[in-house]
Amino acid sequence: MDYRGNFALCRLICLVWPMLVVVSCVRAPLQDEFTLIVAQSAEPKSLDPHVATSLNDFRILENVFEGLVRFKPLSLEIESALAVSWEVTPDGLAYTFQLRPGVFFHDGSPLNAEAVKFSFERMLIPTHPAHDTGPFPLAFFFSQIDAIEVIDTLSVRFHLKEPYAPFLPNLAYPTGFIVSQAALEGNKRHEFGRHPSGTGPFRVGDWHANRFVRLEGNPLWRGKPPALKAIFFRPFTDENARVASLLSGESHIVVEMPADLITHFRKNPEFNVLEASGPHVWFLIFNTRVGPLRDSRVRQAVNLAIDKRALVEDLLQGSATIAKGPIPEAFGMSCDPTIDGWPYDPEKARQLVREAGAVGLVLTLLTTEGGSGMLDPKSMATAIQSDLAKVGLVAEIETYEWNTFLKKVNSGLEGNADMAQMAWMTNDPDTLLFLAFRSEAMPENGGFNSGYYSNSEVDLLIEEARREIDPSRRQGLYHRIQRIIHEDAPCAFIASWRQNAVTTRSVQGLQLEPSFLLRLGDVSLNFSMEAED
Amino acid sequence: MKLYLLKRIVLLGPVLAGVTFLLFALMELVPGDAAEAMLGPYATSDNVQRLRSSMNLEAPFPERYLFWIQNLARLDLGEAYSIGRPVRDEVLERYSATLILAGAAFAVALVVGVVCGVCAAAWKDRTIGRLFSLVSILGISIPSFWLGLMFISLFSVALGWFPSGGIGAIQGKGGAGDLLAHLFLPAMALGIVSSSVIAQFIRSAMLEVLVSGYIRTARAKGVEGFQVLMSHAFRNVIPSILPLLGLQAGYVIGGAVYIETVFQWPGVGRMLVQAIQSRDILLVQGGVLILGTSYLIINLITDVLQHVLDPRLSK
Repeated sequence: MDYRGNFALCRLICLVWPMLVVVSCVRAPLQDEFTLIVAQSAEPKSLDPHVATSLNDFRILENVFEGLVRFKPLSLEIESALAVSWEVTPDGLAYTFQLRPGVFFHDGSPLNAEAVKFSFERMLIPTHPAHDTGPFPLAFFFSQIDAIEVIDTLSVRFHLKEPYAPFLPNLAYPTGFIVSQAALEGNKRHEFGRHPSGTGPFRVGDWHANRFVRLEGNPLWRGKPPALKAIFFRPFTDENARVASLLSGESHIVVEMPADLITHFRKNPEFNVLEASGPHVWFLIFNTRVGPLRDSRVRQAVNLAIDKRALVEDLLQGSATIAKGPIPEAFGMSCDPTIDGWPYDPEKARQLVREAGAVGLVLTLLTTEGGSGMLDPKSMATAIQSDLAKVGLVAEIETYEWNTFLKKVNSGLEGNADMAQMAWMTNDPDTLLFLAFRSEAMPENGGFNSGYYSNSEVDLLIEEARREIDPSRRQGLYHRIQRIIHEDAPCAFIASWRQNAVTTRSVQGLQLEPSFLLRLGDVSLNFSMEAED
Repeated sequence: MKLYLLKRIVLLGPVLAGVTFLLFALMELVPGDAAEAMLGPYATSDNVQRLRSSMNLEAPFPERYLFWIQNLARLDLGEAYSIGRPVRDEVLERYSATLILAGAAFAVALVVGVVCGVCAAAWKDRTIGRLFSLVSILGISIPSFWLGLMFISLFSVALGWFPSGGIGAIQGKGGAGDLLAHLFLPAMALGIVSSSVIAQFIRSAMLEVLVSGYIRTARAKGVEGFQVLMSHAFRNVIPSILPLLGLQAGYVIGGAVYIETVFQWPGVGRMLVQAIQSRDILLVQGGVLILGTSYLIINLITDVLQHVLDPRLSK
C-alpha cells in the first residue's frame, strides 16, 4: 500500500476544495425585485429603430420608443400612442395626426410635429442632413409617403401618393417609431444607434458590448411608472448558455427557447412557458414558369403529399402551427377561417401525379443551413423529400449558406430550382402579397415573386385591398385572394412559427404579443411566489 | 543570439504580410457580402448595388486590398457594420478579454500539467502515479467545449457555485473577485485539455531522464529525492517541452473560440463566430489578424526562450 501517494492526493484535494468554495463565495447577489434580466439570442446590432431590422433589436426598442400608433395588447389592431387621434380623408390620401401634448424625449426635447416629420424624412429623402446615419433597410414601408406637412406644433399631416391601407400598421412597427431630432442633430448623431433617445417608458442606461444593454426607468414618462427600475438584455448566442442562465437563476426570461427543451420546462413548475402565434409563414415557393410545377396538378399534388401535421408536431415539436395560406391567423379577420389549407392525402396526390404524367420526375428543392425565421430548414427539406417520394416525385435537395440561398431565391427560380423554402414575418397582410404574389413583383422587376406566380385577378384584388381603408371590406378582399391562391397553389404553405418565452415563476404580467414585440412596461417580479414553495 | 533575434523579428514582417493577403483572399471566397447582409432578406438588387457602391465593395480585389493595407498601417481597420463601432476598438477590447481567459487557462495548463506529469513520472509504479496518468489521458480525450458544458451543469446549475457565463456580474461593483468567479470555469475547461498534453509529454521526458547516469550518480551521492526530481531531472526536461508549451499557448488562444461561445466570454473567439454569422468581413479580418499575430509572437518568444535555455542551439 502506497501511503505517500495517497497522502499527496489528499493534500491536493484539501488545497483545491477550499479554493473552489472561496472563489464561489464571491458571487454577487443576482436579483432584486426591481431588476429584470432577459436572455436574448444575439447582441443587438443597433438601437436606432429606423436602422434595426431584427426581432432581437425590436424587443428592446419596443420599450424605449413609441410610434404615433401602436398595436393593441394581444392583437394586431391599431390604437393611439403618441397621437391622441387621427383622421383619414375619404380618398385615403391624407392622414392627419393630433399629437399627445406634454411628451418629452429621454434627452429632454419635446415631442412635436417637427420631430415626426424629421423621423420619416430622415429615412426617405437621400439629401436629408440625417440620411447618412442609415442605412434604413425597411424604409420602403413608408415609400407611399409623398409629403409630410407640419400644421402646427402638435398636428402633422401625411400626404400619400396613393391610398395605402397598411400605413397605420407600418407606423406601429419599430421602423415607424419617432426619434429625437435633437439627438440626431447633435455632435453624437452617428452614435444614435448606441445612445438612442425615444419617448418610451424606459431609456437606455448603458450598453456594454457583448455583456448587456441596461434600460432604466424614464423619469419623464407620462404614465404610471413601471414596476421595474432596470431591465438587462443579455446576449447569449449559444442556446445551451441561454438555458443554463435561466436554470442557474442568472436570467428571468429566455426568449426563443429551442423546441426540444420547451417540453422540459413545461413539466417544471419552477418555470412558466409562454407561447403565441404571430404573423409568420413558412412555405415552399414553386417555379410556375418552367419545369414540372408549371402544371397546377403537380403543384396541388405536392401540397397534398406533405404531412404538415407531422412536420409541426413531430419535427418542430409544437413550436409552430400549420399554415393555411399566405395570411397567417395572427392577422385575425383578414385570415379566411373557411380555408383549411390542403389536407394530407397521399392517395389523391399520387393520382394527380399520374394524371399529370409526372411520375418519377425530379424536382430540385433549395434549402438553407439556417436563417431568419427559417425554423429547421434542412430537416424540413428532408421530411418533405420523403413525403414526395411516397407519391412518386423525386426531390433533390440543394443546401446553401443563408446569403447565397437568398441570392439564388430572390433572383428567381428559373434556371435555379423547381422549389425553394422561404419564410416571411410581416406586420400587415399586404406586405407578403404585394411583394411576392403580384405579376409586377417578378424578380427581374426587383420584386420577390421568385416562383413567377401570375394571376390578373389576384393582382387587381391586392391593389384594391391595399387601397381599401374600410377594414371589413378589406378583409373580404383578402378572403377572395386567399381562395384564389389556394386553388392556384403557387406555393405550399406549411407552418407558422409560434414564438416562445420561458420565465421564472417570479415574472408577473408578461404576455407575448402577436407582433412578436416584447412589452415590459407592465411586468413585475415577485420572488415570494418562488419562496412559497 | 542577437543576430538570430534580429533575423526572426525581420522575418515577422513578410509572414504577417502573407497572413493579411491570405486572410483578405479567403474572405473574397466567402459567399455574400456586407451589403447583402446589412439589408437582409428584404434586399433588392437595386438597394444592394447602391450600398455596395457606397461601401466601395465594387472596386477590384487588389485595389481594396491595398486600401485595407494602407488603413491598417494607420491602425484603422474600418467600421464594423454589424455592431456600429470601429473594428480596432472592438478587436482590442475583445482581445484583452481573450488574453485574460487564455492567460488563466495557460496558467492552469502549466501548473496542472507540470504537477501531473512530474507526479506520474515520479510515482509511475504506484497508484497515485497511475491515477495522474489516467486523468491526463482522460483530459486529452475530452473536448473542451463538452467539459465546459459539464462544468456549467454541475457548478452553475446544480451547485450554484459559479456563474454560468459572462466576464462579470451585471450588477455590483465587479472587481478581481468577481472576475475570478467568472473566469474559473472557462479557464479550467480550456486549460485542462492542454494540461493533459503537457502532463503526458513531461511524463515521457521525465521517465527518459530519470534513468540517466547523472540521476543515478546524484542519488548515489545522497541527494534528496525531491531535489533530484526537480533540480536535476525536471530542469533538463524544460528546454524540450518549450516548443510544446508554445503550441499549447496557441491551442489555448484558438480553443477560446469554442469556450468563449459556451461561456459567453466576450473575447475575440465569440466575436469571430458572430462576425462570420453576420458576414461582417472587416470584423472577421480584424479578429483573425490579431489572433494570427499572436501566434507569430508566441512562436517567436518560444524560439528565443529555447535558445536562451539551451545554448547548444545557438551554436
